[in-house]
Amino acid sequence: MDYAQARDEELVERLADRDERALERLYERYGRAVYSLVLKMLREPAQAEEIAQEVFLKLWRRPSSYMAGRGTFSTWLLSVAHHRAVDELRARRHETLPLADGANGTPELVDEALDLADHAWLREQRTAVRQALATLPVSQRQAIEMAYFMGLTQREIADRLGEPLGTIKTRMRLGMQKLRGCLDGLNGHDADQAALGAVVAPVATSSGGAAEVHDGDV
Amino acid sequence: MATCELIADLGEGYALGVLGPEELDAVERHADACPRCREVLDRHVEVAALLALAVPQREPPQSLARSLMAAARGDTTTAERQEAWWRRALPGSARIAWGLASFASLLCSASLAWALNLESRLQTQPAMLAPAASVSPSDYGGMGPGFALERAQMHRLVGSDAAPEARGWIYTDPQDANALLVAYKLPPLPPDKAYQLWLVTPTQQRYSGGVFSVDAEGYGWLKIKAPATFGSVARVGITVEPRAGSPGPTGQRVLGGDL
Repeated sequence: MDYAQARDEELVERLADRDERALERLYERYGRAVYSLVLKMLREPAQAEEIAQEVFLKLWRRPSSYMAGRGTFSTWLLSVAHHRAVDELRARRHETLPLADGANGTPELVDEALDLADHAWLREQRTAVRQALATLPVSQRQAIEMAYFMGLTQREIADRLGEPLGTIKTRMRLGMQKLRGCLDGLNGHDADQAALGAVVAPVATSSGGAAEVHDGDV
Repeated sequence: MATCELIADLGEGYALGVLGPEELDAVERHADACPRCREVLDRHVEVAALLALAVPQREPPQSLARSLMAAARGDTTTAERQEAWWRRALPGSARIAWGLASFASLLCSASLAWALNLESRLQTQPAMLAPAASVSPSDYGGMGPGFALERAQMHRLVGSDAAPEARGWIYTDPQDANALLVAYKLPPLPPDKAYQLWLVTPTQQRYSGGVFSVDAEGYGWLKIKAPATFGSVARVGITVEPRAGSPGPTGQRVLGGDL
């Protein structure tokens, strides 16, 4: 089997046979994206590392939990990571909320510079998503980002922003509808997953220490 | 509103993970019965997942890949051994019947034996076990044959003030005496020192789980064979000890956690 060119779904099938190279390859493809998402949400590298490992171990132990008919593997994996990070955020909610780095506690995303270390495919995807977010009215984007990246419930967002719950629900719904219009097909099922997987920036596995890429390193 | 309107109203919130438990349950139940709405939900989820790509990309530490593969490798070897054992013992569908029958029996007998023997085993063991030999990554193999993958639990270990960046995980099966420790960012030690793992019972007795070293990045691991199943271990701690190990903890505690 050509692991470098194999489609995600093929690699997931191999996991059922305890194929460690398949896991390694999937990690190379998506380890960085999973870790980056969780780190962005939790702000704690050690915890991000822990949860990223949990996500991949869960896949390793139960590859059947991914159902190919329900969407792409990358979407599913990132959703698993997101849910796990939200759980963590909500568990610690009563302790602290160190998430705010923008106005009104909204994580800053759209204005950040792209990282040159990314591969073209991932960079294109990220550019498209950021552009789509930038097209939203600030109030809609804010509601979506507070929900997705901060793990806040609609009620919590309403309380933080001092807005009625119904207003927040509407903003979220309209924002997501617009996003869907902008991004439709970006992560489509027709995409050539083998090609996608083959070009996603691999996670460094050689020695030399972690090379953290910072915002604005261009 | 257990209809398709429910999905129209709550679908975006579902994808963003902002629904309360009752709403979430209602959406899931409806989608389970309505393939069309399930498809709609899946599309919402696809869009929401793309948001994950908007974040700046950070290179994960190399220890993450190593730890993941070490844990997976431990799983694999265990699973292979268990599979071989099952195949030798019972072919084909007989395994299912045997498994069901033996499971209940095992539960009863193991619990009873554990309860009866644990105290006496702990009491008759030497006060401290002789430390296990050091291991290096090249020695890494699988876990003991009784280590059950399905029951393995992952416990987080946190660094003490002496090593605040240190962290680790211990993979245990409460019904088995084998476990795997993986540690990161432990401070490097002089050649005459090593890290030693201590297994602490609820009655505060401490047993050595073995000694290990770490590489230049502070990464190390240890296969553990406890004197009894891990159900009898309340917490673990790691201290700095002489290279050959100590009969009891003498150095500073650098890492630990509850099981």
